[in-house]
Amino acid sequence: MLSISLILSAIALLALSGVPALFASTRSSPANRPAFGAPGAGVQAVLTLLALALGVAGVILAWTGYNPLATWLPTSAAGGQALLADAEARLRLDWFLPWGQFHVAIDPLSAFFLLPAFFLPVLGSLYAIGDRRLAGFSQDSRLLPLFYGLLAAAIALVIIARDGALFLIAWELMALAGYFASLFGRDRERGRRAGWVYLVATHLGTLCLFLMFAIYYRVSGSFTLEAGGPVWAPGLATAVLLLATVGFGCKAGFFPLHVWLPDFYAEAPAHVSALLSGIMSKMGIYGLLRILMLVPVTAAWMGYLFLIIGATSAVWGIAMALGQRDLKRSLAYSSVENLGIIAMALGLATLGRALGRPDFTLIGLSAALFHTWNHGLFKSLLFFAAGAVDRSTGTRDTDQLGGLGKRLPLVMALFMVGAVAIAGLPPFNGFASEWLLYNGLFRTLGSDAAVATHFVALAAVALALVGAIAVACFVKLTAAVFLGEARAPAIAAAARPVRSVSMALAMGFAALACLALGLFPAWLAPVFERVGACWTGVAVTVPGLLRYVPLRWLTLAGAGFLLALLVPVAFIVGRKLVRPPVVAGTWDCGYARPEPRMQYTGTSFGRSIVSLLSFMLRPRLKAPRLKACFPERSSFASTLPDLIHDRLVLPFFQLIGREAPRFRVLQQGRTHLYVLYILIISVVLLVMGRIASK
Amino acid sequence: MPNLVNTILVIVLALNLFALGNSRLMSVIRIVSAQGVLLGLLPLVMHGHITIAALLAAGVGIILKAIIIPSMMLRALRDADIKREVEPLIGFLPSIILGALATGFSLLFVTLPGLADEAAVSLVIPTSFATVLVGFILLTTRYKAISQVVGYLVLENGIFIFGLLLVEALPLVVEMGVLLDLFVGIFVISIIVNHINAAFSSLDTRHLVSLKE
Repeated sequence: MLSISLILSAIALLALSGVPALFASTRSSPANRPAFGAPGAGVQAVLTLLALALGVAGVILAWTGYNPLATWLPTSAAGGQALLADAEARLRLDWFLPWGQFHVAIDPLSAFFLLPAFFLPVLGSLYAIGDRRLAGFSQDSRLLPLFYGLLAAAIALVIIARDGALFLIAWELMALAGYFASLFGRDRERGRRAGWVYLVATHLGTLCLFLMFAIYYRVSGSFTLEAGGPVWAPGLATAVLLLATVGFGCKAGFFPLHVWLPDFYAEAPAHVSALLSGIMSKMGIYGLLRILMLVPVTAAWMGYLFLIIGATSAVWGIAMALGQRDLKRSLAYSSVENLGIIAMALGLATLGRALGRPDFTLIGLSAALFHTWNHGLFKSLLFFAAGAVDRSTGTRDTDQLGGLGKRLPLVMALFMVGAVAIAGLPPFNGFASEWLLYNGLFRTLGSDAAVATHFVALAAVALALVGAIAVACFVKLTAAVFLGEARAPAIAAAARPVRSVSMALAMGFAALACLALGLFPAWLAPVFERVGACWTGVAVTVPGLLRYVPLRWLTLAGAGFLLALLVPVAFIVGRKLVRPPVVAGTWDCGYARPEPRMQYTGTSFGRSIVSLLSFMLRPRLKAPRLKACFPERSSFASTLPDLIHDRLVLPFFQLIGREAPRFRVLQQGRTHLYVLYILIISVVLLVMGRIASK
Repeated sequence: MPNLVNTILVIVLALNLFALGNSRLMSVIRIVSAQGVLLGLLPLVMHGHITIAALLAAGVGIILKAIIIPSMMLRALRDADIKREVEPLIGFLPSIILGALATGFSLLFVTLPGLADEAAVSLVIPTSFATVLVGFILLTTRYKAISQVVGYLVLENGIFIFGLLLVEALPLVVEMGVLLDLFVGIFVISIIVNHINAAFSSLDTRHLVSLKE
């Protein structure tokens, strides 16, 4: 009871954290800016920090089951007795709606997702202090903290909701708050367009969830989302699981449902993108886990389905990310990739449940959960760094940027940490979770369980391919943005230094967390085992995660790697001290008169891999054809449009746009006609009722 | 007193047809107000005993439907300076025939299964539906805004008759609320009528098409 009160008050704090910003003065000129950054941003950072403290306290109490009230209150008091009796982390209240009730609870699964849901808003609002100051003040920027806080609160509410109706309300609140928060990006017009696509997509997903909860209600007789429900007929269970896959997959951005995602993440303000990608998209994973927990999986095909979805999303996402010019779009596509990896891990866990192999389940689930945290951290870090680049130069086009390492050395260092982590390289956390997944996949291949080997092998190969392309993608991004020289001289001249302690702190905390999770993954093993026990409904009887996967070795290997790194670093620093380096042009390449435009661009770097994958990506090239001996002035263009968006979704909606106006015949604007429609329908209903009653 | 009830209901049905066949707006309004008086009397005679609540409901209903609303509409009519519905969508005689068909349809088809089949009730539901349908016909075939208001009134009368079946169960507050709704609705429409007149210098609702998106 105490823990749930703490969590609820933390959520209330988050929801209200943007309200003070509404009263902040926007008239401050550059001369008398408030010391605490943009209007209200500082207040929001403090409030979210407070919410984090409350939330973590609540999560710890719920996790350990410890009830301090038992020791503080005299047990003889009646109130104390009542509180003691209700030590469970649960709150049920009847409410005014005809369905459902206000029912929230914290189990290990919720607790696991709650931590990043409270942690990431703190980083984001810290970052926002500096970001808003760089952005300058405007009247409507006061609204951004409000929607940011609401978004964070709605996410946390989704996690603790234990009632279908409450869940859907929180879900919708989250979708709408995300939409409004995303509207405050730099380019308002494009932001609105991207937000519109998102709104359509999210509501189509929510429609599936409505259907799913309707079936759920039909079978279980209530909206209560608790395990131990009735026996599910296989057909209905399949329907519920498929609807959940589509509905939650839309939020997570699985392969064909990702079309709303790239533009939406790219156009939102950086800290909003970080929250959207870092935790809101994970609500799709959370929802899937919750439904899989309630509706038992007995068929193995569900696991294979997730493996295939995950493998496709991962390969598609990272290949598209490699081909993007826009830095934030690239990061957005890499979210598709990472959610795909999580889906693969989820597939492994589901497979384990269907086959009765708790070891597969445990490893798969651990990998999914671990990667959820990890992706939230390094993707936030990368979005923050991308936002800093955006604020500094005013563009996100990697083919125009370059040489920012000299202007923004700290941002570059932190971006590189994020890039190494997201590419799945040691000693950071991305490596740890992907390694966990590799272990699980290979374990199924070596085992004697009745596994359809080709699916699992496909997933393992996809994971390896994704890892390789991810390295290429982030090498490209780092090199194109930070190394060399600016390809567009105007941008190099305009680049402003970013000197913001709060932004550096936000990125630094995220980077530290990435390193810590990468170095000490074994500490999380008991956590994963507890969540696994909660998810499968049976205590884990297998020897435990550490017996399967030697996570402790990662600590040793990582520490060894860092120590080994010290030697060359010390060598370089020492040489610099002894002999100051000669300052020369960054890029020369043996040309007599080099120009920045002659450098490799990000697009040309990624070109080799994109053209290898051109059978599925279909890049569009507009190359000049040489006709004469002395070619004339010509131009070359290469774009990588999203096939699903351009060939599937857009034509479909264009078709609707073309055909739907036919129904306008019905809308003549005459009241008589509308009344006539009512008349006709009531007469038809009367006649039908008459016929039916006979 | 089933006979008295049935007599009143038959008169209501006849008034429907009169309303359909009359071109002078003033007489149509009078017909509908007469219908309102009859309907106000219905709850008193229907259950054979008179309670204070029923008396109150009947009194307020009659005052509202027979005096206040008609006078408001007559006033609007005078302000707008029109006397008759000149060109309805369907002529007056065909409207009467249509109304008669609707009445016949209701008498033949409309019963409510599950109701105690009292003699008093036998005519109530068909009359109610017939009145609703006539209200719809008025709404769809007349162009003047005032005629539309009359159509809504007739429609509401039909719903009121249906509500009589529930009058024992219906608390007085609900009934008063319905009357208040009606009053406010008509009040607003009367204001709108004036605005339509001012904006389009006519009361023909066909001009409202120009408001279409």
